[in-house]
Amino acid sequence: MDEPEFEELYRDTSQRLRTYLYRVCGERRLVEDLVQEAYYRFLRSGFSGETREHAARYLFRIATNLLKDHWSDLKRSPELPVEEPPERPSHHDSPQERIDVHAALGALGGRDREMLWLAYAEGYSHDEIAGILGLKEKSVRVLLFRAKNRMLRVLKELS
Amino acid sequence: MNDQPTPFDSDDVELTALFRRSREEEVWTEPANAASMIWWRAQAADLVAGEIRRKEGLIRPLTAARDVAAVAALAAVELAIFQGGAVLLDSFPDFGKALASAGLTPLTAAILALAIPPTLALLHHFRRVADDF
Repeated sequence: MDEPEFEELYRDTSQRLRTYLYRVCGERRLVEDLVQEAYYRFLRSGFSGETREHAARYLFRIATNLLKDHWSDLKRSPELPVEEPPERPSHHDSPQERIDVHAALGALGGRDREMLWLAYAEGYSHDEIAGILGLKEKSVRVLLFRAKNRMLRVLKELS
Repeated sequence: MNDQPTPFDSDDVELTALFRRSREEEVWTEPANAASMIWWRAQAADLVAGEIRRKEGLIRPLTAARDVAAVAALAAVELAIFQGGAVLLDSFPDFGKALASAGLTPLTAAILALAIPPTLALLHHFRRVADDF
């Protein structure tokens, strides 16, 4: 991959990757470190996937593993701190739009947050989520169903 | 828990819309050359790794030759000890008796003598490794 190609990939994927990591870990400074490291490792890996989306999924996988390593180094459970209240446009007044997804995700575990974000924000299939999280597709099906039910319970409480 | 129906009663479409909106709301600012910096960092690391591999390739035959020479030297020392012991036992029959009185058979004495060179070599190696730390 040459430099212009990489810059294009970075432009297309970095916002998505940052938001994913932020919704899962909740620390902006950590997100910056993880994003830089993820792209660096991506380049060093000599990845030669066929499509841009292939590369994006590989980046999500690297970033997820980096986050797991970070949590494992800290030896603490992955809580989701809320550093600042998210901006919500005032014209959003329907129940859905009053919901703070970041806060709702904060009530869930790290694995639930990863799965829900990949499934509902990124629109990845069970198979693709399994590839990113290093799980079996059947496990993703079950775990995602449970995570979704937990999320729905939290959303009901919040709404 | 609120039992009233909400927009989130097991509705994947609602959930998707909610998450997508949350994704779109998040805006990140970053330096204009962020991608370029990562690219050059990776390039520099690749260059360093390539140079290390090249140097390792250059010294690999020397390392292999050194290992072969060390094994040959050890074998030569072991052989010399073995032959020296045999000469000693032939020339001084009392030496064998002295060993026997000390509770050592000639075989045990030979094994002990042969173990000395590799033990010394290992001790020397460990000292060097300890010095490196």
